[in-house]
Amino acid sequence: MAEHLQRRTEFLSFDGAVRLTALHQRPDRYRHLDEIVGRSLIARGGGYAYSAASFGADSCSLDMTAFDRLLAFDPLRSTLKVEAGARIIDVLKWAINRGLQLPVFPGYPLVTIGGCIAGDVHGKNPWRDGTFADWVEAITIFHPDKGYVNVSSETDPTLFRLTCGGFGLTGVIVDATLRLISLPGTDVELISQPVGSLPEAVDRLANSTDDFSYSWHDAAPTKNFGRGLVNTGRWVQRERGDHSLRYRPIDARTRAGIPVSLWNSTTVRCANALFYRINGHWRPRRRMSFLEAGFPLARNVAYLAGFGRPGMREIQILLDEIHIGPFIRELEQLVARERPPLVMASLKRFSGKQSSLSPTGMGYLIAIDLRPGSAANHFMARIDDLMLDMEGQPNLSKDSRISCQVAARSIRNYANFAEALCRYDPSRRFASGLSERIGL
Amino acid sequence: MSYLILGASAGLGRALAEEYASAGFDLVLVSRDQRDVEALTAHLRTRFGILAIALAADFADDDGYLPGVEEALTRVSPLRGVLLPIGASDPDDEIGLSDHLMRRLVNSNFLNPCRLLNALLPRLHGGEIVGFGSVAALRGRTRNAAYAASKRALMSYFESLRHWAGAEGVSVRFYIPGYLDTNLAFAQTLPFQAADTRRFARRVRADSGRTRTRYFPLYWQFIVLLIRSLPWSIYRRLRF
Repeated sequence: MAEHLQRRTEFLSFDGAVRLTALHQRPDRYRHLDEIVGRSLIARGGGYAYSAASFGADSCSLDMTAFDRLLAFDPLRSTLKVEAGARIIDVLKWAINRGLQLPVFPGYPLVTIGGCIAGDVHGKNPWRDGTFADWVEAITIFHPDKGYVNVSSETDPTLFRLTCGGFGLTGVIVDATLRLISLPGTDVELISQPVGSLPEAVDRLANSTDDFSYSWHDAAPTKNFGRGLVNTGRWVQRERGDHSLRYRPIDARTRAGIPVSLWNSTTVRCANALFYRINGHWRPRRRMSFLEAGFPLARNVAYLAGFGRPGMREIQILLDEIHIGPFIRELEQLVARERPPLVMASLKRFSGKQSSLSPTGMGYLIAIDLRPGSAANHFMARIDDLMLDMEGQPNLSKDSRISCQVAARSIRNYANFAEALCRYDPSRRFASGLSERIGL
Repeated sequence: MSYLILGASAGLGRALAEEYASAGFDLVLVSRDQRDVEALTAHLRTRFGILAIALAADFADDDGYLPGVEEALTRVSPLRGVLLPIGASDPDDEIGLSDHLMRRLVNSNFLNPCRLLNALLPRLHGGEIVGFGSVAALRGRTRNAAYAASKRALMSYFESLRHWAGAEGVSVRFYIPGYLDTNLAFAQTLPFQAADTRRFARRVRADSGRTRTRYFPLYWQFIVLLIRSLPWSIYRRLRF
């Protein structure tokens, strides 16, 4: 793309931790991709990664949101070929009208298909449904030195696996063929069961056979630390399903619109207590549309916006079944000792078989949200040590600060990924703030 | 009923294609970017279930586009209207530009859209014709000399079309857009906010059946009035 189509943009990671100015262009025709100039590039979708996965100080970000067309539908095989800039909500709405759905999708509706593949996102029940990559049949990747390459797990398993969960380092994902499944019902009945602690939630999730299952926990460092709700959901059928989703669109910049954080130790305690009371006791059983159940973040924009300009921090770690118990015990002791500025936590049972940078294996995915600051940094460093001791794996798309050393020791496929990536692309045309931070 | 859209692969053209497809019209989409126009027709077929035909043609060339358009129109329902959001600009478009570039710009922005219109007029009884100019064409500028001149010629041709159309039952609309949120505007620092192309497309369809010339967004009418009223001695110093 000619340089007169580029500008400099100040980018912000969704958690507000990384802010930098870099080159930016928005191709809207295939020939713009053909004419790309610049040594270092990285594709960008909705910009919802908590880390700097779609921008970098020395890279030109390619905004792919104009490539959002539905290219082909095969009704016999229920496959949909769609461009990478299409938003997950648009694909889902189209699919639902045909009695179909995507089994795995992230918690916010404006994430793009390319972003789902690059971050290999997981949905509300990764234990049963796996991750997004499990539902991708083929991908078209553009690399300025190699042109357009269509890959699947059969035609080029190495490149396919490097790309799913590879954070855009193999090239620009241009389109993907997705496998859809039948929509089992019109609505979801969600039941919130109160639990007193994180280990109790682990037990409940281990025995869950529901269509959706995840938990929410009050993580404020008080005597109530760990109490929460295990949310389980089942499909239900209504005569006339309501597939509406009301939400206020938010991006990294609007999320950081309030100049100060509304979350402090008092407001966090109050909000968590209220949330626990409302959902656990006052309305523990509620029926909602599939989209409302699938996009909980869309309904809780105020929570994210409340972190304001100072931003938020999140740690997300996969722990296997042996280590989840000891990890939680150590976490509870650490919280009691240091009283870090935690806000909330969540748990999901997980199963994934990635060979890229995403967590792989079976176990439990624990996410912890914090208010930023020196106490949070100190606590996160301690959690990194604990993660390494317990053989945990970080989720890079949710973590904007993990170091190169920790990444190299904790990501299962780090060395293999780095070697395969250099073999595929010795000139390393694609780089981001994330890839530079973790030494790739 | 169907519409023919020239310059449909991106920007305003694409927004118009999606707007008219969402209303159930069949479409013939013409663009020089074959991959994009094919992707767009596939999208409109998949998303809206309409009949959409892609036609790759470069209107900067002197000839050769008409048989393809004629053939495509035989494959869709009767023609209701022609939309011309086609536009070509070039960073080298300054006074003294090459013959080749001058010809390409005038062909794309004025000559060939008008020639095509002339050929299609017999099919358009009771239908509509929609043209798109540019605020850049309202006074001679330091840049985009041939682009602006050809868009001003197009505007004049549309005024003449309106004389003809009254007797033929054809509605003729001409829009003069300010900055639009296209990939060109994306890279520029603009004094005014670029308007959303989808909102513009909705406006165009909402105006169906009317004959009018209109600025979009409307406030450009006042900006243009101000720029036009400036004496040359001041205007030339702005290096607009």
